Amino acid sequence: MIVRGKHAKIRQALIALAMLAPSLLLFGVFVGYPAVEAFRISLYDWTGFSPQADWVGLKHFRGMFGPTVWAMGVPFGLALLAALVIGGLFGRSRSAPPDPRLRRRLNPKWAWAPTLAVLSAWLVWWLYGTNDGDDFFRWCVRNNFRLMFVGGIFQFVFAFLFAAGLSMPKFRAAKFYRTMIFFPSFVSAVGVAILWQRVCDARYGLANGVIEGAANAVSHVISYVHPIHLAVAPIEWLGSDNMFNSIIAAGIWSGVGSQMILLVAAIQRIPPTYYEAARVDGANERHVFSHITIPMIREVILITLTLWVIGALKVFGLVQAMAIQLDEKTSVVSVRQYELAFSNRDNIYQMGYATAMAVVLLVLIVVFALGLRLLRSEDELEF
Amino acid sequence: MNWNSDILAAVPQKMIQIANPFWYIAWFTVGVVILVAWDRTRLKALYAIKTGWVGFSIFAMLWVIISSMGTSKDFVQSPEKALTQFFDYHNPITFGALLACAACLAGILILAVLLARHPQMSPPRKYTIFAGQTTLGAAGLLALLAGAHLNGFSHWYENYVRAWTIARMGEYMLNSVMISVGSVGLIILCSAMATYALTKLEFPGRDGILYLFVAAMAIPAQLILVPLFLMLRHWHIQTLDFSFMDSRFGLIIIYTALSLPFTIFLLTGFFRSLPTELAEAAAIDGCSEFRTFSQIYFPLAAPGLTTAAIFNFIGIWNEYNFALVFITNPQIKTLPVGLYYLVVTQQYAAEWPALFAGIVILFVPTFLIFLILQKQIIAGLTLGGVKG
Repeated sequence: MIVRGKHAKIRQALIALAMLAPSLLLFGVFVGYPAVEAFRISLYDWTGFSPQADWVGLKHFRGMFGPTVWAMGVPFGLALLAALVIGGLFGRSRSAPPDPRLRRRLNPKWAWAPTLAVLSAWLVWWLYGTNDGDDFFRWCVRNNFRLMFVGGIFQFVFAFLFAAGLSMPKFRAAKFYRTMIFFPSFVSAVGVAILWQRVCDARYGLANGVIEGAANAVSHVISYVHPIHLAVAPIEWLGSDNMFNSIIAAGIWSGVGSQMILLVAAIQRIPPTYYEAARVDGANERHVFSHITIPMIREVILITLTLWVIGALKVFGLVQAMAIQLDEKTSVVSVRQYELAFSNRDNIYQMGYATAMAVVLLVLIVVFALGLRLLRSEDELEF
Repeated sequence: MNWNSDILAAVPQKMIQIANPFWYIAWFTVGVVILVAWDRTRLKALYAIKTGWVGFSIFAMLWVIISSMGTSKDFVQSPEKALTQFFDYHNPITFGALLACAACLAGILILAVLLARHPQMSPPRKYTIFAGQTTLGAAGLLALLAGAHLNGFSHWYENYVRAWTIARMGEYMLNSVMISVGSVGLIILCSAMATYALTKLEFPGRDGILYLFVAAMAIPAQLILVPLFLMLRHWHIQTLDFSFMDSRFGLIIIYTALSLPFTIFLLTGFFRSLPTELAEAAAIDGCSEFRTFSQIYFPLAAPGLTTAAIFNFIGIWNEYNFALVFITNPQIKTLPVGLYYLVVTQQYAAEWPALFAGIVILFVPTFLIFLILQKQIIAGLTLGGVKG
């Protein structure tokens, strides 16, 4: 709104402040302040119930990663510095291109790529190449990554196939399929977890029941020819080796729907004239797919992946409610944090260490979100 | 050579080696890829995949619902017995109820065929047919239940009664409703005002505040969980006997604060699309800013506010982490936390049917809301995701 006059401006600013006040107050007190406080708490040793919090500096972070990782910080840090310098040179070349021909090739956003590469190399080396530090925590991060990659790949493949089907004009009963595939995304994660826990139960579960039924049916058919009965050993879906795989399966089942809806919306937003023009020019189905559909929904694919990556790093309810036993093979970062801070299994509450884990989680989320942002295309398509 | 023992020895071993959810999904994916490559129209293969996926979902749901209507003894010994209370052909009452149910089903199918034959049917007639199908479905279900009930079977609702009263699901649901509705109301009120100020009013530092809210969306809830707990533990208002721990209102405040960044981000787009000229015209007519907001922009932003309300409602209805930490008193637990403790405390250690009744109680309200508001949910999701 356009306002004239000094008093009117001040008045409008005051009114705006009054309208913002409840939000700013709530946000500042219950989100902003705790978020800043978290960094301070992560530097203390605190059971949370003793009045005294002992300042320990970076002890939690030191213990979390172990001395080797920090010692390797020197070479990795040098590499990081080199990456920053290289990236900086890369980035600067656009604002003042030495050669006009270079302008198209060098994109300043790739200035961050070497830095992210060094950081991820460090991360991978810590996760899979070292043996010291907090072993439990490293397993938790590994499990987060396993959920992120294994679950993410399957989920995306299925979401993409479902979206392709739903956006076909000939596809019948699309509404029914959409509802049934999308619904699990909206149920409470605890509900999904408990349902899958029961489905995967070795003794009374649905999965083993179906396998047993199939074996019985097959042996019934065979028994007309030869007296035989196929006995199938019950599969321990929730045993410690399979537990996290079952959790991933539950995550895929509940997560496909929302990804599919995003992709369907993106595909349906593409103007049909593009396809018609391509057909007139003699493009076949594969050309249309790789030169129209994929580039047009590229942004949405990246948003979908970003949402999944953040969700997989933050996952809590699904794992906490589904895992029969929260050992290092089934735990994830947020569950471990909850266990340390609020669940007094050992009667010691480690508030400081739990918060340090959350800080690492924040760093991981920010790094991954920024890394995926690099893949976004420069030129915005308007249609 | 003894075929029987050979196969008995070989098959289970093989099954155990490859019986791993990962491999099952991997095979499924490989099969799907082959199907897609083989089918030129890509249509049959996609039908196959989707029917498999949806079929599993429906099968699992039916398993839960049907098992929740039987006794736990039957569930362990012969799960199909849960159904026989509805399919007792020797009893004339149950048989009659089955016939009535079959008639209703036939009616639904006939109406569906009618609907499919005339896709250009006018909306009023279409909705009449929908209403007729719904009524027939309800009548069929009622006939089935009444048949079992008149025949002396009360298993089918006993588990629900126990879950609702002994396991306190009723109380939990009431708490969930109160907390969700309260938070959504507060969120909408605060964020609509804030978004109006951030998009339609001019003042120094406007963009900074907007960036602050957008940046705050990156903060994971886990980061503020522990500091918030340590802070709110000591906040106690003696005169009102109010504490943030173990209190519905405390949880409402926390949820509101947590949802504000996302909601403001979502609403900014809606408010920006509304014309500024309206505010100018109102200002010329001598309308105050508060009235401009409450009587012009608030109603105009109704679609956006509805979307935000639905999303926040479902998010808070399903919220688990904070409810688990901030509530220990069983009287104010929410549904997910209550269901979790139902599993943990082993109140129904061998009583799966009662636990299934709890799962159904958790799923049904979400499913109904989802069915009714599906269009708005999809519109909101696409708006938040595609344009954001």
